[in-house]
Amino acid sequence: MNGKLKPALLGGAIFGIASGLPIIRWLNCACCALVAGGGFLAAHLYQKESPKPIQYGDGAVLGLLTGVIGGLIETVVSLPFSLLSFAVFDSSELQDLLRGMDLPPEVNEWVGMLTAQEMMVGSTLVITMIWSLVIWLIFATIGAIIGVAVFQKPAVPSPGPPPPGPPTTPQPPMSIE
Amino acid sequence: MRSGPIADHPAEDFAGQRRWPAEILLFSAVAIWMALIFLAPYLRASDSLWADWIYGFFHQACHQIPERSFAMWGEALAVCHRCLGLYSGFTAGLILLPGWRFLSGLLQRRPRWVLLFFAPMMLDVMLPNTPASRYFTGFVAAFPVAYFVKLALLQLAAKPAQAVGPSRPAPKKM
Repeated sequence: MNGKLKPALLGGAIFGIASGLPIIRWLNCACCALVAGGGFLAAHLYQKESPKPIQYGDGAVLGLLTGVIGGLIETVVSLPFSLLSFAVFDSSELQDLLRGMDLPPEVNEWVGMLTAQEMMVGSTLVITMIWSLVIWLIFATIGAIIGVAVFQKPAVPSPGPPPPGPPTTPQPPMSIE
Repeated sequence: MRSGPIADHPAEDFAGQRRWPAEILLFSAVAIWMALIFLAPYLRASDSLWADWIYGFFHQACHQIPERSFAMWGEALAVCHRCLGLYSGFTAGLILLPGWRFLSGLLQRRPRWVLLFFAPMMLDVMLPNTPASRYFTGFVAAFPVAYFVKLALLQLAAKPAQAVGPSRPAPKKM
């Protein structure tokens, strides 16, 4: 990994935690600003540690790594919030409450639809995670590539040929006589 | 020069058998991405279930507020004005930058100038804006990014074949 893991972990952890938190995660609605920022930060950290200028290709690999790590961290952080938001409303309780009541068929149909939606929650979460991961890989990579462009160290010029010295065989001083 | 041997050359200078697969991959990905954005409202207008999948995919990166999105077939596009500008700018950069040597040369010599292209968008976010301003500032911001993404991909494609640098003609045998 040539020292890419540490900056990727740090960049991924910061954007992963921020993206997993409610409200703060909405910053990702601005073209995945948090995710791209994570890649950008990782590129900065990687260049800081690297003695030579990093390449754009290295930045792309670093961004992919940051996206994977950040995506996993985000999943762990956001899972409790996601489950909590789905658990707040339990349609079975509503069905118990409405049982025995003489309700129009539209309402019964609506409650049935809610139950079906709850069953879809698990699969929806998985699909959302996969989509998020794809999007994050792309945007973290782009963020890291922009980071390389911004933070790339100037290359140390290679030592050229030595300057021409004095001639090895000293010439006799020119006589004006 | 600011960086190593590969970055010392503009993206157009890369040659070799690995260049074209890398470019085709990038162009195909961008074409599919753009097509999905415009396909989503058509599918939604046709009551296709696939529309929800496409909108759901782009929702990971965009708020998709209908008032802040262009509409086609009576439905909002899969992304907002600014995101559409960014993606369009990226696509235009991929197509146009190889021909605009003065700009690609400038980005090659001074890659940090990429931030200047983001400045109008940052200002637009803070100031009162319009759909046109959101679209065009996004377009300008992403236009030069395409150059660096393409360069990164070409570097990755070149690495297994050659350690560094674009292909050069072999020395003539005496």
